[in-house]
Amino acid sequence: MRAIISVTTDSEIIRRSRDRPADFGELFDRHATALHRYAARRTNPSVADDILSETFLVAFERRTGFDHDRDDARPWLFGIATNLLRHHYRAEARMLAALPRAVEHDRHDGDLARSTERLDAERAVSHLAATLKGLSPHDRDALLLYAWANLTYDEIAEATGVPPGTVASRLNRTRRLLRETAATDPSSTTTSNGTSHGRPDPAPHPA
Amino acid sequence: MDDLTLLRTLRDDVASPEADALTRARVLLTTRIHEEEALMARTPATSTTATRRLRPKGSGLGRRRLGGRRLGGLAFGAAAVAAAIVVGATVLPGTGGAAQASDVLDAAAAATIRQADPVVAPGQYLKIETTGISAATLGLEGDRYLQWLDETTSTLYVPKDANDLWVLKNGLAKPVTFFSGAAKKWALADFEKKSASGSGSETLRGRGGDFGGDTPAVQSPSETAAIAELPRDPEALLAHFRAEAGTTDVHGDAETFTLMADLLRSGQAPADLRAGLYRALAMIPGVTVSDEKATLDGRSGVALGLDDGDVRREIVVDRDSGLLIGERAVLTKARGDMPTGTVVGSTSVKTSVVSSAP
Repeated sequence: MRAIISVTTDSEIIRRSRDRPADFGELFDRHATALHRYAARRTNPSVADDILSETFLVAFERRTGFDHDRDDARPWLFGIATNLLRHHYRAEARMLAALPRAVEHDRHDGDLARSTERLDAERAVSHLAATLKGLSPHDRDALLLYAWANLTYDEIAEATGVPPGTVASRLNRTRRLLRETAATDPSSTTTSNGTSHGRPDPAPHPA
Repeated sequence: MDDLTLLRTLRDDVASPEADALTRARVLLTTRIHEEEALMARTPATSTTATRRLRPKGSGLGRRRLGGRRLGGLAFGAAAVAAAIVVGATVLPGTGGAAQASDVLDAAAAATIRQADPVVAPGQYLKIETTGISAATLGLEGDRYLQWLDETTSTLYVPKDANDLWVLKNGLAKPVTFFSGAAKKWALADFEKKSASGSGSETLRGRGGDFGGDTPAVQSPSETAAIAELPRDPEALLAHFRAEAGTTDVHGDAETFTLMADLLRSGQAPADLRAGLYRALAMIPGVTVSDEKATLDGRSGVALGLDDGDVRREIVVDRDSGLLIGERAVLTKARGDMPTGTVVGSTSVKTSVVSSAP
């Protein structure tokens, strides 16, 4: 809708590629790294390698269907990648399961207060990971497109093919869920002023 | 640190792609581009259909989700929007004596098993015609947007031998219901532009149901095989689709419901599987009958479904034959200019056997 003079938009590249397919390569050069990072963040680098090549093959096949009212192809490309990622939910589940451990590995230096903070962070991450895992695939897609791919509500709507209002309600719901799990976590009340006795208590085990 | 800030920091340290990986992906794309150029050089730029290339096999794209949520270009379920019918604010029959969902589904299961599946002879095609209305939202500057409903028909021709050539005709989406004057003006103008240029409608052909790209087609032979392998036992089916949906909470069950409804709607589930699916649907908590006389595409049946808080997803079943007439999604909460009770997604499916494909 808004054309920026002197900068070639994604839309123009895609339009040109109808008759000059080779031009489509420019789109790859612009967005490949960001797409790969997003896919790797949700799964692992080797899955991301596949997602990257498949996303651009699919995009190339579908280039005539691109909505030229949009200048930016990111929502379109992230939408394709998101669909493809659905097939890799096991890899994503493994990533989520490993999240809390990833924080723990960081924790080997520093003083007591910092250790306590780290412990809090670990717990927060565990809860976040559990919540992410419990989300429906649609909700998780919306949340991660927002938080990790930096798409706006409108762009997420475009990427996932739903109205912006639905995106807004999904994100509100998921963010409420994230807050609720954090709030009901009994172990999240650990004091962080560093005046505990010698060492932080191990996390209470309910059972 | 709040929830979102924390989430944004997680896995922020993921490495950028290896140069190798980028090169490999770029080469794959370039190879595909060269194929296209070669084709364009050979064929005058007339038919895009005939020159449409099939995606290379083994790229992993064939592994679409069973009963994937899109069929013939029509999105359904949470992603869906649409339908020409505004049911009004009272979707649920207020009177007592409403049929129990489990009774209806049980009866449908019993009826469907007696229903003979269409027999496709060599040289014939199973014709699956899907009509649906989907909502479109166009975002404008700021928070403003236009909303309207599009009607689309797509027709799929499945050959007797699933490895032969399939044909998929996708019609142009036609705007039919508008939620503001501005939306009407824009949507109709856009429709005229597209029908004049011939864009927006297409006929795809592909061996084995593979139309290339991410064409939201149907089951490829591998998926047809996967359908054959699905359990018929309702409990096992429910467990299978819950795992597919990835969750067990109410939102997960809404997704589970949609996945099973999509498979029923695909027209490709054999009678014994349909019966199992109906019985599995009856086992999902919260599934209720909402409309005993729902009309979809001129046919009437019982609507039953599940409310996820925003949308009630429903299937409409012919009580006598146990055949699925279609699916619909009814807003249980206003969405933008669309009031509660708007049917924001509907798809109906008709199957028949024909002796030729276009």
